[in-house]
Amino acid sequence: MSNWRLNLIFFLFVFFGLAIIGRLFYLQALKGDYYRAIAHGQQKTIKKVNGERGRIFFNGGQILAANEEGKFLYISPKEIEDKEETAKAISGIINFSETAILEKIKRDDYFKLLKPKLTVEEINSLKKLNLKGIYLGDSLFRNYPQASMASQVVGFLSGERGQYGVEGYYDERLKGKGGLMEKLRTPWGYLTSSIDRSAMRGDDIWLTINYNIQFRAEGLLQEAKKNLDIESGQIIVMEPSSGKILALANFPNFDPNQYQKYANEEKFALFQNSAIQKIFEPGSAFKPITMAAALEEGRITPQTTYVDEGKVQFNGRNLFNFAKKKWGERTMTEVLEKSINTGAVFAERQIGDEKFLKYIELFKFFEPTGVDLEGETFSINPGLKKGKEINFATAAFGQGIEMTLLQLSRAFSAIANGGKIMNPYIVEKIVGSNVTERKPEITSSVISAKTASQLTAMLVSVVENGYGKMAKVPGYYIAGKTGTAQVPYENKKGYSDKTIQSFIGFGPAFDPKFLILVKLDNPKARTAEYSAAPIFGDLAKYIIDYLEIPPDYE
Amino acid sequence: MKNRTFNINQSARKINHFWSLGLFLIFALFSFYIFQLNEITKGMELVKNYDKELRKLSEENKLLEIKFSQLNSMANLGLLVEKLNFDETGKIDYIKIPEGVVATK
Repeated sequence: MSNWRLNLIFFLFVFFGLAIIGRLFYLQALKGDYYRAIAHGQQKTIKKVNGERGRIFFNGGQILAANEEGKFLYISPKEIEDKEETAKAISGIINFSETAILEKIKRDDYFKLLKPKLTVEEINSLKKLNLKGIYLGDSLFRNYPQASMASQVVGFLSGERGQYGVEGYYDERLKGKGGLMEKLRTPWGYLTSSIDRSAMRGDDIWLTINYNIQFRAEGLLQEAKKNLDIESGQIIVMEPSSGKILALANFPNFDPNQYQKYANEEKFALFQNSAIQKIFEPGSAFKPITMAAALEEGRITPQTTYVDEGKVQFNGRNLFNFAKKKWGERTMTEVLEKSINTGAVFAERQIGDEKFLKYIELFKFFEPTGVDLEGETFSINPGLKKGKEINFATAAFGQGIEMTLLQLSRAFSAIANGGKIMNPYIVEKIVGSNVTERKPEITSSVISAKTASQLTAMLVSVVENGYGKMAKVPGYYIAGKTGTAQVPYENKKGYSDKTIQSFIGFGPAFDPKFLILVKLDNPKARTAEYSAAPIFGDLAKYIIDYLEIPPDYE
Repeated sequence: MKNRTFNINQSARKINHFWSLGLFLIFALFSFYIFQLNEITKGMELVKNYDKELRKLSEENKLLEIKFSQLNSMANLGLLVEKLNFDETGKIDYIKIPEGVVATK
C-alpha cells in the first residue's frame, strides 16, 4: 500500500476522532447540564414518602397502637369501559352498594378512592377479577390491637392527623418525618434508591398506664353497667407520690379501629375523655378539701365539735343535710364519716370565705392539670368567684363548684402525699433517636404534713366507721370519701333527680401507693356508699394483690 | 528495488499487527462489557429480590406483632382462664421473714 493511502486512513481516523471528541465535548461539557436534566427526568421519579408513625405502648410493653401494612382500593374512572358491570362485580366483593360505586365510577377522573383498608379475602377476589381501571395501592394503616381498651386515652388517627388522647396531643412526635424517595428507572425495571426510613420514623410513646390495672378498672365499669345500670362512668388510678396515671378508664368506650362508625352527632361524645374533658360538681367528695383548709388554718381539729340542727340558713334560704337528717353534736371526724353538709359549712365558716377561696386556688381547682392528653378543660367557676356567702357555703360540701375528675384527683394526691401537690402525667417516656423520660414534678405544697396526716386519719375513719365501709380492704387502712351529688340542669337553674356518685381514696393510708377515683353517672343506687364505694374496694384489693403490698395489720 | 520490497513487506506486517491488535481489543472489551453488564444485572436482581423479601418480612413482622398483642390480650386470657375453671384468689397471706438472725440456740 502506498504511503499516501496509509496517510489518508490515518488522517481520516484523526479527523473523525477529533470530530467525535468535539461533539462529546459539546454534549458533555458545554450542554452537559441540560442533557443531564433531561436524562434525570426520563430515568428518575421522585415520590414524597412519610416516615412510619410511632407506636404507643402501655408501661409493661403491651402494644396500644401500631402500624400494619395493607392495601387500599382505588379506581381510575376514565379507564373503565363497562361501568355498570364493574360496579356490580366490585360491590359483591367489598360489600358496598352498587349505586354508591357507580356514582364514583361515573365521575370524570383518574383517581377515586373506593375502600381504604381491604381484607385478605377482598384483595384475593379483586386480584382474580383483573378488571381494567381497578387498582390496589399499598399503604400503612393504624391498628389498635386492644380494640376498645383505653380508647379515650389513645384517641385515633384520622387521615394523617392524630385526634383526641395521646394520638392528638403527641401528633407531632408520633408523626414520621417526610422525605423524598428517588426511583431510578433502568432498562431492567425500577431500582429504588436506598432511603433510610428508620431515620424518618416517628417517636414511640410509652404510657404510665398499667395494662392490668386499666383492664380491671374497665371491667368494673362494665359490671357497673350490668348491676347498677350506669349511664356512664370513669375511674382514675394515680400514684400519689409521682402523679403517674396508672389507669384512666371510661365507660362507654369505642373501638378506634372503626372510629368512623361513631362519628355522628349522637355518638360523637364517646371520643371525649370524661375524666379531663367534662366538668362536674363533686358533692361530698369535696368535703375533705374544706376540712384540709380549716385544719391547716388551725381553726378546727378532728375532735372539734358543733351542734347540727339539720339545716343552715342563708338570707332566708335553707341548706339541708342529705335526707334532711339532724345529727346533733358531732366532731369534725364524724362530719366526714356521716357526710354532714352543715358540718362542712361550719368548717368553712371557721376560716371565712376569703381564705376558703384561697385554698381552693391553692388546690389548683381554677387551673388545668396540664396532663398530656388532648383537649383538657377546666372551669374558672365564675359563680363561686362572685363572692356570695351562700355560694361558698354550698361549695363547702361540693355543690356549686365545678371541676374535672383529674383536678379532684390531683387535689387529693396532695393529702396522700404529705401536702405536696403533684402534676398528673400519662406519658412515661418518648423513644426516638434518643430517650426522653418524664420526671415527676412537685408544683407546690398546699398543706403541711401534719394537716395531711390528721386528714388521712379522719378519712381512714370514714372507711372504718362511716359511709365508706364498702371500700374497706381487710388488713389495710384505706382513706376515702364518698360523694353523691345531684346533677344540675343544663339550661335552667336547679338540680335534676339524676345523681353522680363517686368515691375517692388512697391506700395504704399511711404509705399510699395508689389513689383511686370512681365516678358513676346516674347509677341505680341511693348513694355512693352502695355504688362507687364497693367498686373502689374491689379495685383497691386488686391493686394491693397485684403490687404485692404487705398488710397493715393481721 | 530489493530494499523497497523489504520495506513494503515490513509495513504490511505492521498494519496486520495493528488490525489484529485492534480486533483483539474490540473483542476483549466487548466481552468485558458483556460480563460487566451481566454482573450489574445480577446484582440489581439480587438487590430487588432482597428488597422484596425485606419488605415482605417487615410486613409479616408487623402483622405478627399485632396478632401477638391481640392473642395475649387480657380479654382473651380471661376467656381462656374461664374455660379452665380456675378459682379466683381470695385472701393472700404474706409470710413474715424475721430480719437478721435465722436460727438461735
